[in-house]
Amino acid sequence: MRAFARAVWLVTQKDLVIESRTREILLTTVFFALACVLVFAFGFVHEGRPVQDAAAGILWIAIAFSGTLALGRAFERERHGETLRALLIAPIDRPALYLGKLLGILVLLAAVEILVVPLIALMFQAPLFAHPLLMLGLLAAGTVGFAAVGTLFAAMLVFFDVVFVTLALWTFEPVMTD
Amino acid sequence: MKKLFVPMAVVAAAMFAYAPFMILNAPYESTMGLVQKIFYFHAACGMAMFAAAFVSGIGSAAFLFGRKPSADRMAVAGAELTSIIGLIVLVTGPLWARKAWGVWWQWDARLTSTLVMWMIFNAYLLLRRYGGPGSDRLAAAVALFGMANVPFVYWSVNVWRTLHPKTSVIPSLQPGMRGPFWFCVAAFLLLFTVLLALRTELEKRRQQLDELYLAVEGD
Repeated sequence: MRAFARAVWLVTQKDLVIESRTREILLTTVFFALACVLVFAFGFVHEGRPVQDAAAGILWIAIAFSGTLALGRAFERERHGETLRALLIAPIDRPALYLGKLLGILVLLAAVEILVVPLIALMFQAPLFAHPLLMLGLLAAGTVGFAAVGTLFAAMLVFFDVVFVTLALWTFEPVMTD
Repeated sequence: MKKLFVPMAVVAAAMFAYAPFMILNAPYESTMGLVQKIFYFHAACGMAMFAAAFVSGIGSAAFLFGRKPSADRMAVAGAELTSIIGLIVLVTGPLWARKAWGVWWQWDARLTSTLVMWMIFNAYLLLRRYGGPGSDRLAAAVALFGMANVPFVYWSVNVWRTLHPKTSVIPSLQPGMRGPFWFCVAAFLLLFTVLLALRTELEKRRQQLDELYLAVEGD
């Protein structure tokens, strides 16, 4: 069990170290989430006032879209660096590999949410912090669910050329239906 | 220019140290009171942001049509400064808006167009950093779009109905407010000039270093 946990942590640590050096996924994902918010502002704001309850939808779409981008890029990086095979032949369990990748993506998505949630609350005057614990629970459950399904599909689709489109289709449907 | 870095930085630092005293002594605005004083930094930053966007846009145009590496260096420096100074504008604005309008953010023409412009220059920086080979020319085109936004941002308050104060606020400032305001504008423009010159020089050295690495690898 300890060896399993250590393998999970090593995979996560590897991804986080790469990310801390390049900051590529974090910066592009945050920027993409901001762009989503901006585009929705054009549709959901009338006479300077946002449509009531639009913020929740905007928040989830921003998280889901930017999450898809992060998922695709996390595995694209392995393919680009030709390190996926090295990961697969490493003497660790495949579930540890999956969990390690999942944890890395969760950390990234959490960083995006820390920025995007207060921003949407401010920009759309949404009472997102009226019930902070409930909000935190909802965000955590939604993000873990999304990332758990997404990581699996992103890993399966890593050798496909249209990874982003297919990933979006395959990830959103199970998340919505569950 | 290199010799001027330190004196200019010292003058800018002295101006920023003195600016709060000038702002403190400026008269209070009749309806907004103390909260109006953020205007001295907010509007001054806005002007520096426009200047940075113009530098980046003009540098990019010179790089696209004239292929001058020096113009590209200036464009990068301008874009980074637009991003940083723009962030100050986008933070000080809502701080004032919370007190003046009761909300942090309003999706009116001025605020939205400023955010769009800021994001265009951030897109430029992301493209430069992660775009790979050839992204410098693509990014230069993005900077041109960013610069084209400046007139829209400036005139948006006069063309559309917005909550944001109009451009006529500055010419109609009370006499006691004019001095501190233009002093702050001068301080921010000086700081902008120092940072622009420094960042351009840094980019030049980075390019020289890259060339040296390539030369070593080629041998």
